[in-house]
Amino acid sequence: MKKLLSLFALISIVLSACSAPVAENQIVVGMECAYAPFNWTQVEASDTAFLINNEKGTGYCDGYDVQIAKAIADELGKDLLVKKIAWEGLIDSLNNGEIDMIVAGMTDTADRRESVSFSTPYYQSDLVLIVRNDSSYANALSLKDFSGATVVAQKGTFHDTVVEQIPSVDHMTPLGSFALLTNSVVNGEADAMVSEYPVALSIVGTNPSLKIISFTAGNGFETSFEDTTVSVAVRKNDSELLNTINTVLSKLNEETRSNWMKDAIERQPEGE
Amino acid sequence: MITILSKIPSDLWGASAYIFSKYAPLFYFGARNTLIIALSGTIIGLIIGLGIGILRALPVYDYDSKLKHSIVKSVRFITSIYVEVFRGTPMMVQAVFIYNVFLPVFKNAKLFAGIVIVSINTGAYMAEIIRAGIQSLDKGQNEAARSIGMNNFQTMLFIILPQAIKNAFPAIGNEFVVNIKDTSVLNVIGVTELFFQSTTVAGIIYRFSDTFFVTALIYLFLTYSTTLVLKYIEHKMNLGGFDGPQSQTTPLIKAHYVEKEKTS
Repeated sequence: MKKLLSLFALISIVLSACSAPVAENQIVVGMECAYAPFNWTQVEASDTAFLINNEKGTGYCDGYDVQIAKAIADELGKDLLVKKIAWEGLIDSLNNGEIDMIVAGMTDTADRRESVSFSTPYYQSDLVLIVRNDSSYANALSLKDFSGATVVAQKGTFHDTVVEQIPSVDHMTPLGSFALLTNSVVNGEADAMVSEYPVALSIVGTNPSLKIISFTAGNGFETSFEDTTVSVAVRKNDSELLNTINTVLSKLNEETRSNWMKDAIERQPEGE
Repeated sequence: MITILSKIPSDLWGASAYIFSKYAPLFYFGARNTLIIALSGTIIGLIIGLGIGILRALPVYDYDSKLKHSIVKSVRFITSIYVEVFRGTPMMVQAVFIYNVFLPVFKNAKLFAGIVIVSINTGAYMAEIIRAGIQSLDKGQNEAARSIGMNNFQTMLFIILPQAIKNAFPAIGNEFVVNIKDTSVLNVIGVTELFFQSTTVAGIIYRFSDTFFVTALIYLFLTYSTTLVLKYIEHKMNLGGFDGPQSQTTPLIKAHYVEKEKTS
């Protein structure tokens, strides 16, 4: 058995020597490429999109997050490589060195801060609920109106924790991706799903049977500033990179940010 | 306020046709990788299975030395651990485990990682398939080969294996079809196969059932056309054109001669 293990170790050393080395002058960013308009995949190349995994065939990744990542790469004078990684795998991939930073619409939370460091926020948005047009909740104005509704949110996000703020809510088991959430609202399994406003715009754009319920101040979810913002995550010991990122973000004022988001919403593949 | 108006039709067939035509390159790439992984995984798995099948079929006789007895015993023990572990755990769990153990190798070579995982997993099943194929042969085949002076190795290579493989061919082909479907679990480690690419498309348009309807049709196309090819090869193998030694216990040999008589 010992021999077998050492053989495996030898093979892995030889193979790792052969596998393609990551270029020195490259910064690798991880995102889902499935969370429009923050990050999405498209078939065609464009000036703003990056080839996913630098491998032909997987498509190109574009979106608000990609533009932020591009700004960071430019400041560092490095080439940007976008890797498409599932939501659950992002933090692991960062800590095992597969990627250098996460720009994926990720919120800075105390739990995540145990394993990674976060930059200052790079976007702030409101939380909304998405319902069917023909649902009895279609004219809701406040969270109270959703009393008794079945509500779903993405697994492992703070969206899933705020669901409890709805009085006597039927908190559905969280799902893995926004496509799955949308599906469960469309087919009636859930009455409403939690989403950030820009993402909700993309969802109702491709699903005409759905509508957005936004809330006026005081009627919606109670959230802290940190909750509704998204930040860039880096490895804990990577303070040099974190400083550079914060410098880049401080140069982007509120207007630039909302313009970039507006552009991203208009650019996404199912726009027009 | 910004609104987005998409051109995706609302009915299942219309939406599926739209999704397929617009995102065909992504589906194509996924299907290509699925086939590459399934085919190489099945072939490498078959080689592993043959190796283990032969090792497990090594005969020992009472007159052999104690050393040989203990070697054969330990070889059987080690191979049975491999077979039981990889048949007894889900491939998805194996994928996560193997990927993380060999992370430095697999990090930038996910397609390679997929092939390795499917090969190791298939190897365990193939070992059992080959063992069953060898056991299905009449003992007389072995005895006859030995009596004309062939040694263990020659008997295995020229007499036993060709027949065992032929008998096991339907099961081997079935493994390939199973692998086409089972590569979908590799999306858990981010291999860009068909399932992974489908979640990408679903993530672009936020339309889950329409996208996966397209995915289901592509999988069905892949598996059904593979089944047809395998059936054709099986047919060719059974009716002539096969010059290797054939077991008298295989009734198909009769069909072979009946067929010949008809044509003559």
